Amino acid sequence: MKSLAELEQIRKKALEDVRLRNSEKDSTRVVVGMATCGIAAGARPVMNAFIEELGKRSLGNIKVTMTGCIGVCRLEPIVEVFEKNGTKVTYVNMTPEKAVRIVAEHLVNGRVCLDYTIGAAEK
Amino acid sequence: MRDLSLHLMDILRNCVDAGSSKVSIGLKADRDDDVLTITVDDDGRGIDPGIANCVKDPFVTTRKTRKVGLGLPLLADSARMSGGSLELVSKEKGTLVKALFSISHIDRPPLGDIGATVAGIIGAETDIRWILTFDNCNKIFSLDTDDIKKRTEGMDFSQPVIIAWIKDYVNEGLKFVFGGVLNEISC
Repeated sequence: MKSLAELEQIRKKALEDVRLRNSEKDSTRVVVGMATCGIAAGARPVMNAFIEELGKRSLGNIKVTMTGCIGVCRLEPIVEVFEKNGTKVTYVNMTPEKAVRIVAEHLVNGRVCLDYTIGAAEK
Repeated sequence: MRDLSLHLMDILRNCVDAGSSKVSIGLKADRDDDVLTITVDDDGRGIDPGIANCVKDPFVTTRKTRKVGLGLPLLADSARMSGGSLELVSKEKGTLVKALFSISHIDRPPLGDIGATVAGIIGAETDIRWILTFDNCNKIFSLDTDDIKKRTEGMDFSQPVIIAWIKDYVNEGLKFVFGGVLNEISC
């Protein structure tokens, strides 16, 4: 059985992760559309895939948050990535598998996965 | 919605949108009456009295993006389909949502990944104090984000490693309280 005491260990690790990446102070944000439409389309597993993958890679400076209905429910699950420089990339029809690729290619290596974006879906 | 954890996520989002600062979530199984009760108690701005009587109508909503709001109607339907009901109580400050399900009813949705729902919302909304309680056959599990705050000494716990830990912690508690299988409710 886990206990809250374990959190102290995890805290040390998390602090280490943040310290290593402190230069990138204004962190990137991953925002998942979590209204009824998003949840029904599978937004929660997508969000969990982001959290898990970011945890594995110790990317503690990237925040995963939620928002309400973005307005294009037919393209849910929708994920918006807000970068440090203020640009936004909107990914649509998301799946947990796509989330893993976005972490690797976009969030780690800075290459936007163009084929998953709203621009590609709405051509 | 495939399971109760997804309904729960939907209702918790309402608490966030209502500007709550403290939200209590309860899952309680009463074996004698065969009733599973899910309660979500917030201190947000509450439901406008003008629409309080008709929020279970899918065509009543406060959101601006479109004219339908399906969160509460879907939950009300899931509850009704499994021999239960949905009650909304407008408190002096905030709202109490109480969804009742008949545990043994064949149409009762499974519990689902409650840990993923709770950890996700805790990590995304760190300004809100979340209190979680599971209760079944004298077995109780509870989690209060104030305790987590103390343990992590005020560190921002939206860190992925911490959210992942909360998810596993809650699901372990869920298994302990509701039996060996994550999705089911037994003694």
